[in-house]
Amino acid sequence: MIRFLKIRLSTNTKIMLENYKKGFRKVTRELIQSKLALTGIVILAVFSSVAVFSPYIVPYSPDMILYDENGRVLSLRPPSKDHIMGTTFMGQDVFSQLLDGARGTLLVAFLSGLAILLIGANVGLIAGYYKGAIDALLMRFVDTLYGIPDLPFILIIALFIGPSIWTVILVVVLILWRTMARIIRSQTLSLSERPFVKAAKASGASDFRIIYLHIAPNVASLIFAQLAIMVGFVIILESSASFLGVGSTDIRTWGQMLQYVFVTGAIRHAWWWTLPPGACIALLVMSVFFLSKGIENITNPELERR
Amino acid sequence: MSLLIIRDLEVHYRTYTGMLRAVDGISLDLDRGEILGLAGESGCGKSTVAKSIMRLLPSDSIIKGTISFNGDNLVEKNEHEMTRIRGKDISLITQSAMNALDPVQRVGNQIVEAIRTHRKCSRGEARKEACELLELVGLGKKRFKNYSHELSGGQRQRVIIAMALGSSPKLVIADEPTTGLDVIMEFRILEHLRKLQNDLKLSILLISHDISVIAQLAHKIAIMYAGKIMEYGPVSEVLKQKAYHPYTLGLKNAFPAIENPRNELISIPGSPCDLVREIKGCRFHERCPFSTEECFIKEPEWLNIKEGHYVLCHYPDKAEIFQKLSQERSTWIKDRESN
Amino acid sequence: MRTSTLIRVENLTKIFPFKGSMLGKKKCIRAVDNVSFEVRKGEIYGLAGESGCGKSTLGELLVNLQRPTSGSIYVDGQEITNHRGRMLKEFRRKVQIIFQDPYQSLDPRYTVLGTVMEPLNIHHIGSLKFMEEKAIETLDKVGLRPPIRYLAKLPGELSGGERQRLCIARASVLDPGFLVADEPVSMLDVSIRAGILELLKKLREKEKVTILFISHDLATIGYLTDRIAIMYLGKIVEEGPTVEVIQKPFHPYTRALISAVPSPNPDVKRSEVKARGTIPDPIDLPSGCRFRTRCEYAQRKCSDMEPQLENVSKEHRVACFYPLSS
Repeated sequence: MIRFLKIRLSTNTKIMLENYKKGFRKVTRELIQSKLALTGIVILAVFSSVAVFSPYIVPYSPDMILYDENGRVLSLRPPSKDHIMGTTFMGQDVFSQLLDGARGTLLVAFLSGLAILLIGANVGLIAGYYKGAIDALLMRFVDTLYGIPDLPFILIIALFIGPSIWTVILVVVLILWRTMARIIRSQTLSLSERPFVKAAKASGASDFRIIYLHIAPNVASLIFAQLAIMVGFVIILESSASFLGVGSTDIRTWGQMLQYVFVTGAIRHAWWWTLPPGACIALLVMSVFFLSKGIENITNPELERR
Repeated sequence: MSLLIIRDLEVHYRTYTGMLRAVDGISLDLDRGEILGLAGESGCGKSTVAKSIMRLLPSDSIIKGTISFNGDNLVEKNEHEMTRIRGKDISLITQSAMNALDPVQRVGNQIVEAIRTHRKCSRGEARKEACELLELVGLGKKRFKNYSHELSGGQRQRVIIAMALGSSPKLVIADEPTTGLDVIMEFRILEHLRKLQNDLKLSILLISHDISVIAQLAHKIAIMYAGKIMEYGPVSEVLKQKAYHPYTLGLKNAFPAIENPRNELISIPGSPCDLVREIKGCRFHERCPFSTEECFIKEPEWLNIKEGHYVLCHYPDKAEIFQKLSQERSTWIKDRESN
Repeated sequence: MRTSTLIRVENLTKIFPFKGSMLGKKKCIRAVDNVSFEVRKGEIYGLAGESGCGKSTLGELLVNLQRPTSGSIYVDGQEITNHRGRMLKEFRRKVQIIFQDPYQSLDPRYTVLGTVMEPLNIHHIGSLKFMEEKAIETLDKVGLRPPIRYLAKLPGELSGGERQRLCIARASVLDPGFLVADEPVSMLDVSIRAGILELLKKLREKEKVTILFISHDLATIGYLTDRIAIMYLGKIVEEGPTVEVIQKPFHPYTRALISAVPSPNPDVKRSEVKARGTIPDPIDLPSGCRFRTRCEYAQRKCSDMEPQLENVSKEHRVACFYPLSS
């Protein structure tokens, strides 16, 4: 295997690198041209940097309870020049919490996305390529419990294993990998009938090679377009679960912030506390959907203008 | 009197690399009761000609010239007027038409529908006629009740022909009607078309990349290349060693003949030219073994060399030499040997 | 078995079960039915027939892309149908295949160089430098000249003829002894077909590759092949030297096929094809001789028994009880 990798890396090096560079430049050029995708990318980039650097840019420690000059808790203060998004019920700076919350939210999005990709895409590829008994077996996993609604499912699981960010990630992946698997499977089914797969087999290619070096690259764009949408759903699910109190209790996420607003009864009038996390959730989901549409537009030439 | 007269037809498609001149000034005549074959390889524009006669081109294409059908210029007609002509006076049979049959309707009923779309008559009358048409194309009226999936490819194609004839058209355009069919089926369909043409005095524009099909059926042939007709004349002249254009001669070399199976086959080196960029001179000059400086700079004229025989070439007078030289492999392959 | 035999097929059968069997009876399609023949070293052997006759299935069986239901295939004396794993991989170096649709046969994301090098990669042939040189040499051999100009191109940038040449390059880079060509020119423009056919001829002459040429186009087969086998509904009905079979067919089906092929010479008009009706449903085969439902010479014997291939001359075999004489 290693030898195989090594050969692949150094084989027609110049040509492949050139082609990758060309392809990369083309894709980035097209992504930038597509206003939709560009918006999505920019927003995502902003949020990601915030998530990464939040400990260094927060004006206050997010958990720190703040007092005014009289020693009273700075509870539920509207936005001011010291606190641009005001304070929470417990006297914490909303803006700092928002920046900190980006971490949790994006962590869930990223980890879940990765898990959905690895599990869903692989199951889809394998089921679609081998067909027959393996396909039937794998699809049975996919089809079982298919009708179960997402949120109630999270509630129930959380009841058993306790609410936490990992519960959320686990459940969300359990729900969403199946859609990914189905989509990849149907594409793989049709691709594996194409003569180039037969030709690869006739050359002596192993199944592994065919699946991962021939079929997967040709469904890659589909996988990523789909993945982006899934991540959108992940964020919504996590936020909803945390809002209901069955999601993250340890790590701060935007959904969790909303839960505190609700639980302290401040939701009706502390707009400075409700709006930021809500808006950020919406923005993040939107950006991810835009990106997905952008990828889809690039890879699907029929959608482009002639 | 000619049924179909095309003069200086031009069709341009808008693409995002530029204007594609799919058909760039062609002229031809089709008389009543005649079969004209339009031959050429992929991309030469022959299907575009069919679509332009039927005015079935995409909305952003440009069409110029005249297509005179029964005295009317079809280029000037609007969509409403064309719907009255399409399927009624002019029928179109295409290659994939057999896949266009409705899978959930019996084929007989589809023929009935085709008849009643263009003519006011009762269901009973249309049924009777549909059965006659099925007999005419050799399927027999027992096939009326079949669904399309119960029929073979050739049988489906014959249903399509029956449907095309249902309206008693004056002109049938058959675009690759037998491509993809088995050879015995192909023979049957060609025979039927010939019989129909004989019995009904049908006029047929037969489009095919296979000149053998045209040789079997057509009276006249037009050879298209890169949007232009290179040679046009009676089949008995053009398809025998009396062709004038080097492309025609080269094309004939490429078709195997089963009665002389070991006859040498020679391919024409190179590939068809890009129809988007501006082309000076003759379209074929890059691949033509006899091309000269003049062929490169000046476009040849459409010359009437004999009664009913036209050619687009600078050197029709050298035809005899071309005919002799084109039979030798070294004439065509000499460029490649040096590589 | 002659020492000049490269491929020997014995009683090869491939049956596809048909889903939706009625009344409990298991229906099936006998795509290849008890076929036996030999291909000699260095020859171009033609396999002709209409759609559904089983020729493509037979081609795939010969390269082990499908496993037979029963029967054996011997390549250079070795039985290959049970090859697995390493033996199968070894086998793949000796026997290759090219398909009808050159575009669909290529991975659209692989460059020309990548496509030709992949078989070398798979079989770990030599060093990187050696592989690149071999690939370039092969590209030159198949007529993609100069190879340097083609290396970085993708299939979408090539013409139909160039794509098919690339497929041939991929198939021949491992120096196989046997190549199955399944309708390699059917989807190409006629004016470039001859170039590909010449290339196949060159492969046979210079590289000593034995070729099985599958086609429904008898005129092309007539041009290229040394011997020909005509298939009908899974069986070989006639086999012999190509020119002889075409000019003097013994089987009524062969004669019908040949008489149906249109000629580019307008003076040669086809008048009659002696084959009634259409190809029967492969699920519901006629008893005895499969062609009897369409044959004007069919007798009682033809529905009672199935004719076997028998010699009418040293090299010519026919499966018919009443072979044509003139």
